[in-house]
Amino acid sequence: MDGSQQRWVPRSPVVGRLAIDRREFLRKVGIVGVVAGVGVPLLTACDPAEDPGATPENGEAPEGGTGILNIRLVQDIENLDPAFMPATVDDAVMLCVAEGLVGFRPGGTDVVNVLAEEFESSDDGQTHEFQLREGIAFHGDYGEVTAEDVKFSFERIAGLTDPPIESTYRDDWATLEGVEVTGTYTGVIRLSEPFAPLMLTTLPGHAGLVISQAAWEERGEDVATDPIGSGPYEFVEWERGQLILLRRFPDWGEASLEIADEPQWEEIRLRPIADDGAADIAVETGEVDFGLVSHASVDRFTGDDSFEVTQQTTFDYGWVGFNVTDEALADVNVRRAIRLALDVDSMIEAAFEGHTTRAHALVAPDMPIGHWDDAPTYDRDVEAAQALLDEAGVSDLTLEMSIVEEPGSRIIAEIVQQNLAELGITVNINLRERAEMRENLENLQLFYFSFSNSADPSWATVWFTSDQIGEWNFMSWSNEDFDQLHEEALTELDEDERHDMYVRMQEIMDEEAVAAWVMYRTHHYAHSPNLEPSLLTPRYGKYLAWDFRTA
Amino acid sequence: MTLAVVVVVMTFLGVLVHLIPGDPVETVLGPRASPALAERVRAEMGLNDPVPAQVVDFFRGAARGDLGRDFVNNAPVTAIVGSHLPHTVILAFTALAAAALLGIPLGVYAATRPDTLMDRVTSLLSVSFITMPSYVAGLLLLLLFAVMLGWLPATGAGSLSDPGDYLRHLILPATALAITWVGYLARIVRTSMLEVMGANYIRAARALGLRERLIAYRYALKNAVVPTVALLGVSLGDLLGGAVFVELIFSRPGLGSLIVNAIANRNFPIVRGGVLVIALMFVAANLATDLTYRFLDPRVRVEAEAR
Repeated sequence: MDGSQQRWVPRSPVVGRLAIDRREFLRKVGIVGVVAGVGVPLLTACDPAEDPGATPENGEAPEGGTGILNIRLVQDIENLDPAFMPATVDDAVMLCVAEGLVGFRPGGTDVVNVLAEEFESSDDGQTHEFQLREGIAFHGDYGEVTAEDVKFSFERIAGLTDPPIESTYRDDWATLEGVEVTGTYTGVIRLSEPFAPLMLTTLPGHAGLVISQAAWEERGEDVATDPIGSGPYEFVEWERGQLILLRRFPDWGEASLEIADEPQWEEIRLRPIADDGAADIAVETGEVDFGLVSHASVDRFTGDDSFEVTQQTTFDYGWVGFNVTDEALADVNVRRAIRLALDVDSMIEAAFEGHTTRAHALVAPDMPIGHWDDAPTYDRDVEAAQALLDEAGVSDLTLEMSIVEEPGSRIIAEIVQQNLAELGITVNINLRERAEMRENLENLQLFYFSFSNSADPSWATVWFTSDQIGEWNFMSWSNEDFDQLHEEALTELDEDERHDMYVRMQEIMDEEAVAAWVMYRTHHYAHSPNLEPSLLTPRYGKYLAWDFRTA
Repeated sequence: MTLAVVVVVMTFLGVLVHLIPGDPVETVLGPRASPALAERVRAEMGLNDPVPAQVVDFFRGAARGDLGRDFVNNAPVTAIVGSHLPHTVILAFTALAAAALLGIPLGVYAATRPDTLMDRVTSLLSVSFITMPSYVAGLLLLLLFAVMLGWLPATGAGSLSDPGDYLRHLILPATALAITWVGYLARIVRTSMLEVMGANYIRAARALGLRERLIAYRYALKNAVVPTVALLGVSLGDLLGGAVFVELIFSRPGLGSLIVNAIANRNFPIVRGGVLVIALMFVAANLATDLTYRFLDPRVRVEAEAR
């Protein structure tokens, strides 16, 4: 209702002098504002120096390490100290920052010399002499790698310091008596008993990383997020929840050249992106060059020519288990019946979109020893299963299937429910919290769970021994022969003998039907076709970032 | 009243560790931790002390500004929360400012043209915005501007040391958060403006021959803005909480995602410290709103004085 036609006289001296009225002024400011609001982001988006997606290695091969590599981490780092590393991402970072006496070569399980110029083991496996390469520098002016550092690194994890540090990985050095320093660069590792996993997991793994004693003593607890190593990359910066920045260490002693060639990246930027959806987008927009993607996204990336998906079958395993102390499941025939009724192939299809490897036993095919080639395949046979149930004299069972929140678990539980319904077994699915489930193991019946694993089968069999009942032996299964074999295999140095022992252990598990094996966890990494990743399956960290190459 | 709220929240947070099933120490340390280590960590965390003692400890520490140490790498919680807090606060305030800058004029515009086509269109827009949750808006914006058009970055917050880059990372998340509130503010402003516009003093101003836009912005809005301020205060609390979804979608570091991850990892000191900070900010925001109310509306002041 604007009745007045009078122009409003401006009060402000500034506006008055410009001889425009307030309405005009506001209109013009408004236009400028809108233009600026839209234009500025556009302008800056066009600036290649600021565009995070324009990393040099997309399609161009830089000479002499001038590229920046962006990698997605599935979570933020927590503790980079090898004695306490809780997660795979911590090891992925330390793979670039620190080195061990020996290490795994990418693409397999070969172990080669790294910091050790020479490494010799006695026949009884109890003494291991090493001679370090000379002149290998630690980052940050912490001097050279010496035998004292080796002693410090290993003894602290073994619990031999005073006071002991209570390392999570003490078992990796279970039989260490001590490391004797015989010279600046020489020493002897002495074990009280032969320890077979030493060469397969301890020394080439993160528990075998050599850290700087001086740095650790000076930095105290800060090393957890600011570590010092001798590796090709220095830990530069950590922006919590956003970025871990590693930069090429100019004085790298090149101890890892037997593992891989000179790295090409000037910087490696690791970005924690917890949400899979956000991670997919980060890969699509080029903000990360390499990232783990969920099973559901695999087809999308393989179908797109601007991306490639690299698959990695790990040693981690998932299985449907039975609490053998439960009265319904105590009869082995009941367990065999259930195992025979399950349609594992459908589980792989439905729960993992077919993108994972079916497991038939505990030890994965690519493990250096212990894979049971002749493990039986249980294909769904409802009639035979029913026959076994009848033999056990059991009918109208009701069982609870416990699962935790992890990829595929819900669908697997539903398939189990459907499969067993045909046997007249009612299954109730119960989604639980990990911690809560572990507190109530006596009440478990059926469950689906997955464990991570490393390159020595003893780290898998240990969880099924009697000692682990109430801890991680969810089946509450106890078998003397199995326990004994596990103990003996730890000290057996003959590879063939050891292999047979692990096969025998898996045969026992099969005979007693303690598990229906489902899958070996498979990772899928999406990246540009110009990027060649370097996979390191035996290490916790799973890939060797500094060995990624542009094709 | 404010103090009572804070005390209740803190007590609840102190007891939190024991209400939730699952042993936090075992979860944090993982399967290979020895019982000796678990015991030692438990003792260090004070989890073996009686519960009231733990709560009192928490109070005492918080009063000093010490929110404890996190379970995983023993870093001070205050530092951790402090490093994430700025990102959430900046996001919330930017969203709030954007919502106000868009919503208030929209509301005024609609109020000065009641029952016209423009008014109805604006109403439609407002209601659509109100019903769109922040994470849906976030995903749509992400797909359009970051993935399809590539104009803006999709993940992260950028670095505070590079303001231009930080701003670019802020645009999409702030817009996603602001959209709902644009709708609310527009509606509220429109309603209270219409109420005010019918008042006698407005009619007097018109009779004086003042320009309509002057009347709207200078006289009516000033009075209509009072309930809007109340809404802004509430919205700050919602923005701080709703920021979680947006933070997760855009992979921004922030208090929301920090707390969510800490809950999954049973990292209780961080959960406690983070929730406490949010509660304090909420309380402070409401306090500020009350005071602003008093400042803006002389009637409230007079009433209070008369009492």
